[in-house]
Amino acid sequence: MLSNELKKWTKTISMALSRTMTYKLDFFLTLTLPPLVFVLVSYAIWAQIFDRHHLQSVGGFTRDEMLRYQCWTFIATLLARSHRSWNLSEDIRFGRITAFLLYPFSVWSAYTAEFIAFQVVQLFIVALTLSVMIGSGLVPAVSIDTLLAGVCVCLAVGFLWFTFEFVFGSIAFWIDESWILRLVFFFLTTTLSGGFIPIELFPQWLQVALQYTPFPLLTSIPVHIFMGTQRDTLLLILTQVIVWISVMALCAQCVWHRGLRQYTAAGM
Amino acid sequence: MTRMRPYIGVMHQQMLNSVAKLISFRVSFVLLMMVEVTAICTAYLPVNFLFHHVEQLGPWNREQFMFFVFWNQCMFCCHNGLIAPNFWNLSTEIRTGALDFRLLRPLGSVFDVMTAINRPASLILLPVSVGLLIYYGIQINLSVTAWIMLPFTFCLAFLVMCLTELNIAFLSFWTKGGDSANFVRMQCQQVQRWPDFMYPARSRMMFTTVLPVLLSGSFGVGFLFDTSRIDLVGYMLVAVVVFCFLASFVWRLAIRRYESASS
Repeated sequence: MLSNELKKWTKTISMALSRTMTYKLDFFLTLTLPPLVFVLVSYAIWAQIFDRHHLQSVGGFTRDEMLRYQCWTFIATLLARSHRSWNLSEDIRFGRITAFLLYPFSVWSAYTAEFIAFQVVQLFIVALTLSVMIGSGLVPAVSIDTLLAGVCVCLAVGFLWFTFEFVFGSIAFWIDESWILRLVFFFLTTTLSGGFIPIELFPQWLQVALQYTPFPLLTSIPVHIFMGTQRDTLLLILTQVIVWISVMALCAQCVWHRGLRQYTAAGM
Repeated sequence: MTRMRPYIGVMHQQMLNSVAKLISFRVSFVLLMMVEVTAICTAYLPVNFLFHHVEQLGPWNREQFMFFVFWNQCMFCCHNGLIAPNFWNLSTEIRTGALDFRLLRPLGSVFDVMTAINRPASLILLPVSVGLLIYYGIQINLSVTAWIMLPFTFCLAFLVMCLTELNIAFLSFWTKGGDSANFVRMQCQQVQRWPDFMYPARSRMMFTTVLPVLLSGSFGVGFLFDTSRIDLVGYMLVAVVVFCFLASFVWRLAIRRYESASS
């Protein structure tokens, strides 16, 4: 029974892997280029801010710390918030999930397997990028403990991101333009998760408010773990991530079941 | 004028259809408004936070920078309402083969492809961005000449932006998945959000010549701040001519390469 289930998972993961890697240029342009451009823009702008005005520090960050922060943002983004759930909303809209509903493998499992395949590819890209960054001196070499802690948190946050994406994708049961919600969330995340401007530079009231949201977990906290400047313990951070994953998984389940109840497949 | 009449008629009809669609699907309308509000807030907030920590960014103070932010915001509003949906539509039509029907119509194909869809909901918040642009323009004491030249410069800058993105969108003919060209385009908009002096010399050179995404924001605003810099308008005019020719050349090349998915 268990080996049968495992076989389904491995088969789906390997199929998703080959699908992901078939169109390499598309994969690069769609998933790797956006965070790369983001970090290049951020890096250039922060370097200019410090150099043009001969600033010693901004919000407690020295020039080197800020530039390292931007590099780690790239790594965290690749692992934690690169996955997209376009397929899910398209599958719902075009009635393709009907086939999934008949398979002996649930939709959630199929998409999770696809997500795992995606993360495997991202891990390779991160390993390569990190070697280049350390080799070129953009970021200093970090201890294995720090690196493992950072990668673990990023992967956990990646799963949290996946649950968010799953919820947004499932909204396609009701509206055609489910991409709008994803775009709004993307805008908010880019600004409020501490991607371009670290949360420490936000006004105090906003910093306090953000503590009660998942936004810092999406970029700021993983980056601080990589930089070795995180004040909270790893256990506390992972607990926070798990709590948010549970909340979002519950939401995903609720939205999915409600959506499925009113689903009428095209072509049926 | 006789040649233009059918095109104007088609555009008019498409606009009417878009408005009818907008009124019919209220949830979509509210959601699109939500996107625009979020876009305005997320454009304003980072710059505002930055100016809590620094007095100036390059030669610009907070008000000048905000003028630049809302100049871009106005441009993105028009772009999202009139042009952007067509770029996404183009890649979908290439993928599905629906482009065939456009190529067969008795209209200029590029015109048809680029005006097929309008999203007036995005234009509804344009007055907010324009209002803020005018507000910051008054704050920085923009000269009378600059105010007079503003609409012309805006149109020119918008044309540069659209033509640059059009050339990028044609990449969809070469990329198999379809949407990746749109992601390149969106990254260009990220670059455009910051003025040219914030980039190192080599990047600045690249983004003002090879891929002139900085022209529409930085050069347009740069000219309004100093109207004696007529060369900045000259660069934009040259970019319009060059990218017009390039777009027509790339389109012909792309059509020759296009293998319909439906045939």
